[in-house]
Amino acid sequence: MTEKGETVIALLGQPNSGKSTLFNALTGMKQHVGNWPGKTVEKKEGNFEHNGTHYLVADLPGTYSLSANSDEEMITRDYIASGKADVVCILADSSQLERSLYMLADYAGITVPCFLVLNMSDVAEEMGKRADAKGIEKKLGIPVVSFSAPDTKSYDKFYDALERAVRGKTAVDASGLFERYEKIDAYGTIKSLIPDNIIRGYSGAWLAAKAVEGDEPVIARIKAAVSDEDKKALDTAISSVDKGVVITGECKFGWIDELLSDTAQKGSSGVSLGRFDRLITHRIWGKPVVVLIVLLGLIASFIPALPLMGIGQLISNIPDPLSEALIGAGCPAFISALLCDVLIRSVSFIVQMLGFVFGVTLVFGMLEEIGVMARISYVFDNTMARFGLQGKSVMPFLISFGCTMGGAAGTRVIDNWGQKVLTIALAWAVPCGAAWAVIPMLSTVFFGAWMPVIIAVILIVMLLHMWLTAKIFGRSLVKAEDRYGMIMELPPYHRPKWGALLRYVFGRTKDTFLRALKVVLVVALAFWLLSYTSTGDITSSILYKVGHFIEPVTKLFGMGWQTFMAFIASSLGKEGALGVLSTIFTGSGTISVGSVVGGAAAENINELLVANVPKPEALALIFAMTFNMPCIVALAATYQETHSVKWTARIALYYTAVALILAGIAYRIGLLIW
Amino acid sequence: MLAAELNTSVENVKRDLVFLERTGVIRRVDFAGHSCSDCSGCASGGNCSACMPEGGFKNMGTMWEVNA
Repeated sequence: MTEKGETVIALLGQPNSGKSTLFNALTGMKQHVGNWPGKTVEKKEGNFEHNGTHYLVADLPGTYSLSANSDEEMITRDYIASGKADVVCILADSSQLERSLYMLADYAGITVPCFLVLNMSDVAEEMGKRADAKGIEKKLGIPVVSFSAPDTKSYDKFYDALERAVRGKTAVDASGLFERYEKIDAYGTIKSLIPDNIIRGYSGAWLAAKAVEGDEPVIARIKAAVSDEDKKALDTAISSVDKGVVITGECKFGWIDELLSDTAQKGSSGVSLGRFDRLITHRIWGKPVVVLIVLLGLIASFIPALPLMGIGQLISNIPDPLSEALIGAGCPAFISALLCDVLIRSVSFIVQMLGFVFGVTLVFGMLEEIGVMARISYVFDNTMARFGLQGKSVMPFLISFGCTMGGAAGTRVIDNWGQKVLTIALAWAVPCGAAWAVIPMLSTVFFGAWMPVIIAVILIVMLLHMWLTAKIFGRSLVKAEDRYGMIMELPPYHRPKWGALLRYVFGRTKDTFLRALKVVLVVALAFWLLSYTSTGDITSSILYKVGHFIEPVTKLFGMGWQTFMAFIASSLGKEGALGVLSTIFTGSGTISVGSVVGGAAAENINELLVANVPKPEALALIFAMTFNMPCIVALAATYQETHSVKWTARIALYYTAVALILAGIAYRIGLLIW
Repeated sequence: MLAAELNTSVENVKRDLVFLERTGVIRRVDFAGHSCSDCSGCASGGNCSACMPEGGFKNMGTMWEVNA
């Protein structure tokens, strides 16, 4: 009671239990707000009068429990121990009683009078939940009221419970909970060592339970009140408990379940999965369904890609007539070739690949928006566990579909260094945005309608590659004890937010266009200059000489020197390969090498490629490019995240070697087919 | 699914997850941990729309991992 004769009510409850609504309804405008002494936690107090009694209401900070985990929890505990409160009003959310009654269970054992408010009864009723306040009151021995704080007409029940608690000095009958505590090995010993009344308002049972939980402030207070001999016995007992907070938690939840077993109707919170969820999360059918979804997604992404492919091909028809017109108009051959063979052909390639960036981003962005991507990561969680990875590695992989550098940076959420390095190493195998643009485009150019099959095979090889990489690197990077499980709550299905999705799709398409333009033009220009001769005789160019010198080796991997140059350029960025192809295989102008390498005549660059590169070699190039190191920036990001030159070099060399081996295999398989 | 496997209610699973998280036995994975500033030298000039949707991947559900 205050000096003014006010009865003090302390409002205690978890965040979102409706404390503030109740506080505002009780006190109206009579509130004062400050800070708790020495803390930055807001302190709210207010007054009201009912039936001639004056009350002071203290709105304690919203806390999950009464442990010593935060300033808010310490303030709450200290306030109750200070003896300032005449009665504590414990609030629980009726719509989730099993969860919110944890505060009551944590309070049980404190002797300061209290009563229980089952708030938000209207929300609970809407959910088909109903609590028998009288039944709970009978079991707990304290006044219990079920009401809804915003409903000011129902406050009579609240005032009645308040007055009964103050008058009767009611305390929670927690004998059932204490019986559960008694079954904890160290609890009895600890309780027997605690003298009476060491903290006002807190029983020995409550203190013993907190000591079992390893609550440092409580343990210190107990130690300060006992002999040296008892301190040692206390230490021994406490140290014998492992994860005490979980053990007492089980006791508290068990007690809550018993309390609600015949006093609460739970509503329809049964376990039910939709038909699609049952299928996609099925132990056997889950993975095939996911693979099918990805394949259908790829085929669907082909649809928006087609118009841009067509536009790109139209652009590739421009150089020949333009070159003739320019030369006819007296333009120097060098300038004409630079414009037609380098610039326009590069733009033609870029526009063609943009369609795939748009399509793939749209389709897979939509799968993420809807909630399917979360289910895909759930289905593959056990696969990742087999790789020795944590569940959260899914995010770097997902980002890697956009950019491997982002994926490498995304591994910062992984605190185990070995798992971080392994995640980066595996993320390199995930085709990045540039690969998603270049590879389907080249596959379409060379294999037409068989593109989805080529991509499906690439995805299968990607998984095998990741498995092999995990086996090779995992042994030295991840120890068995570092592998632990994860729990995942799948999101409900959403309707896509089209605005945000389209901004993402267009943003990424634009970014890819700008990046590709830079990379392709620079690489195309560099290779064009290397192939340049003043006489027009390509055999005397640097590129031709170097190419012919290395060709005996490149042939081992199924690639001629030209496609091998494209492979090398793809190490800088996948788009770089296009720069090489558009330069080497152009057929117009006086200084290009296209006519020399193939001798085939064709209308545009696509036809030139098909005419000059045999299908087995094209397949080898596609595999070599896909599984080559992602780009030079990803290499730098890998070093930045791993801080290891050794591991960065090891990963880069490994990927280069695997890409060449896969190219060799693809070439030989191609020879069998074509 | 977990509720079905443990023969309990979804509500109880959620309660236990909140409890285990509050007591530090498990921890929520912060998928928003990746920010544009993480990609120093990013080829897209710090434009994260090249890597992920606006504000990150928001519909990946909630994930917890067991604290070591």
